[in-house]
Amino acid sequence: MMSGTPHQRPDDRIAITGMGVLSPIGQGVEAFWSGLINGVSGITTIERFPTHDLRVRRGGEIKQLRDIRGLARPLPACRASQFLIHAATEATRMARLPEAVAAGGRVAVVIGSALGGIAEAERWHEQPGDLHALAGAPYDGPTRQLARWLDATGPVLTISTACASGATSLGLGVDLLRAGAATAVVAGGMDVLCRFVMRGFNRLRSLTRDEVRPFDRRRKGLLLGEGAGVVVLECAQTARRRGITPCGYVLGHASCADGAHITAPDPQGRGLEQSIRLALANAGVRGEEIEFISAHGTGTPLNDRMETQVFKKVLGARAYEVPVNSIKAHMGHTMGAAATLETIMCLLAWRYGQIPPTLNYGEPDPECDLPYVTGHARTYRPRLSLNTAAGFGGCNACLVLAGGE
Amino acid sequence: MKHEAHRVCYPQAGGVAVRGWGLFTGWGEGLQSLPTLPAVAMQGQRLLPVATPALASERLRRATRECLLGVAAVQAALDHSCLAPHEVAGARTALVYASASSYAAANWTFVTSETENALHFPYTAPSAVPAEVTIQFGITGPYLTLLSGANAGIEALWQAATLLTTAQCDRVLVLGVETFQACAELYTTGRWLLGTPLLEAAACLVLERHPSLAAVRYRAQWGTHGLARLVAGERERALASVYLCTPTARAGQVAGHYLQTQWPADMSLVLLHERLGICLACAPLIALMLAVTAGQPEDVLLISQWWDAWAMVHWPESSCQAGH
Repeated sequence: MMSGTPHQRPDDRIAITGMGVLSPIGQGVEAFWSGLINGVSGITTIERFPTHDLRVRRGGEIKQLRDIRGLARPLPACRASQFLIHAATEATRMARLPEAVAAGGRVAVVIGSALGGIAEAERWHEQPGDLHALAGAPYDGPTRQLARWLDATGPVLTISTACASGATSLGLGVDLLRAGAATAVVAGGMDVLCRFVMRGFNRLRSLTRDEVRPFDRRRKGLLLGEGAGVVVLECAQTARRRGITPCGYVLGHASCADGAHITAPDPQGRGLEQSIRLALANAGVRGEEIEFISAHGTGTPLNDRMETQVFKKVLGARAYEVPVNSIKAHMGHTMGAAATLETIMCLLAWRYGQIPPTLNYGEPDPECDLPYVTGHARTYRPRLSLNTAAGFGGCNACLVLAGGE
Repeated sequence: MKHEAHRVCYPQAGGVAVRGWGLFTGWGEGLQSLPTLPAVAMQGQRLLPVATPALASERLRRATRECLLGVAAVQAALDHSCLAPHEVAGARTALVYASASSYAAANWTFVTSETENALHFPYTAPSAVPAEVTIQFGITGPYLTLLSGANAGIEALWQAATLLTTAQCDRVLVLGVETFQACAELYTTGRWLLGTPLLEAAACLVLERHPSLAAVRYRAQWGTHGLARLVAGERERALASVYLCTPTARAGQVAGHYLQTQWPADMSLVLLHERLGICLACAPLIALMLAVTAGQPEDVLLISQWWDAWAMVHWPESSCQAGH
């Protein structure tokens, strides 16, 4: 059906050489992993803005940002930009990217977000007068702040495929490298909790007063969270020449439309199915080779049922053998950050040989009958993983990932 | 490491052809509505609003003005391309959406409203505009929304070319929508962000694979001397025209002066802000329509700017386009 990259030579693969995390269960990759494996919940009562008039007042809020060591200049006031800079600082240090920049590398930035800088517009509305806050309010405001912070010289792109943004941004980063438009790409996703989004989901009644329970029969909805996930992408050959050991690889990607509904996923999951099939073809990987699925798994009745059906449709009988998890119950749905954080989780699962559990799972749903990882972390080292994501507007995305080796 | 860019993995299966387009702007419908003496026509105007299309569709009763403009532009592009709506339904048509401003109206209304409306919130997502298009035309192929300010139009053209040359789809609709009217007060307050006059627009290009054309090339540069670095490798190329899309008139004048020193005097330089007004991410899409219509035999260069970022696509053989 498509040419894509049927047989990627090792040097042609796109490597992830650095990872950075800011999440409600931990700031930094190691703290994040520890929280995932130990079943830590980052869901708390939201304290940073008023929630008295909302049905649900809980979410995955980051209470305090840790200081970053060795900053040469103060962080911007915009919280979304701060999130990005936190995660990107960790990722670029891990990838030793400053050395590459000093050697003349062309660094691109690709950031996905469901909300962009809308919290700045809210702030400006509450306290009019600070015109500069408006500059951070567009969707691309935080991306531009990050590009300045990194002294990027290549393309600087902002995308929004709603809650699939964190996967689409990595895919676009891969395309930039394959097109020769950059030598390294800092890519990822970010979103902050604010009244804007809490009010919206409150009115849609999508938020649960119960726990988030992906794939469980009792699941009633999602909770929102905030965070940022950033990775550094490079051609494997470039990474090898620089002496960097990759954390893993993005073998293939795709983002496709449902063409069905403005908010709800297509019950038949046509867009998600097409995304998975295109991403597998793009990677040159067959469905039966997949060893782990990091599902979108929001804990809404419709999403989890639809995703289960799609996995069975694409993988056939193999779907009943592949472990599946969702980490949304740990920290809520972090929107634009979610898929990048899940990508990082997949690569850490390979590194440490463990798959984090899906929290709060207790009662099987006959319509969700795949081998979900529940209760405790499972000892297993998945080399090839699928990471799926979906969002408002019928946005779907899929990444095919490989562990570092 | 120095500037070693690896062109790997993706097969470069020829180039991309423009099959047709649809255009609505504050000047009217279609390219022919653009004024011959825009400076005179624009005199004293800050904003040229586009008329909201009247679409007879019960399904679109809740859709925002931006969604209606998107749907209308796509329908016009299909008509111009002699394509029936059912021919773009399904997984082999992609939609790449670009905008710098179209989400602002719905977002600002929601931020400033005292009472929330559950039906309004979904339309605050920038993906609402392309979503309504995919629903209207049954598109389930590759799908992307680019929001990198005025550069999103150039990026959308590059991404469309990538999707086509890697055979992920057979056809791409590149859609841009820019509106300012609902937030006119906000834009006036923040005039240092954007120049005037602002031109509202909805533009859609239908692109298809064309094996005998050369590949579309994309480059982008961020930071000091961005434009100089961007075009440094382009001077030797024979070009019919350079189309310059900047978000302010002043930036356009400075950049235009620089570009004129870089190419022979017979190379045509079109400053989009002078030709149309400022329409951000829609400008490169309209520039490509103008280039194809001009029918010049050589290649064209489309350049755009947004803050510290410069982006360009090199579009081969504009006279070989419009194959409908």
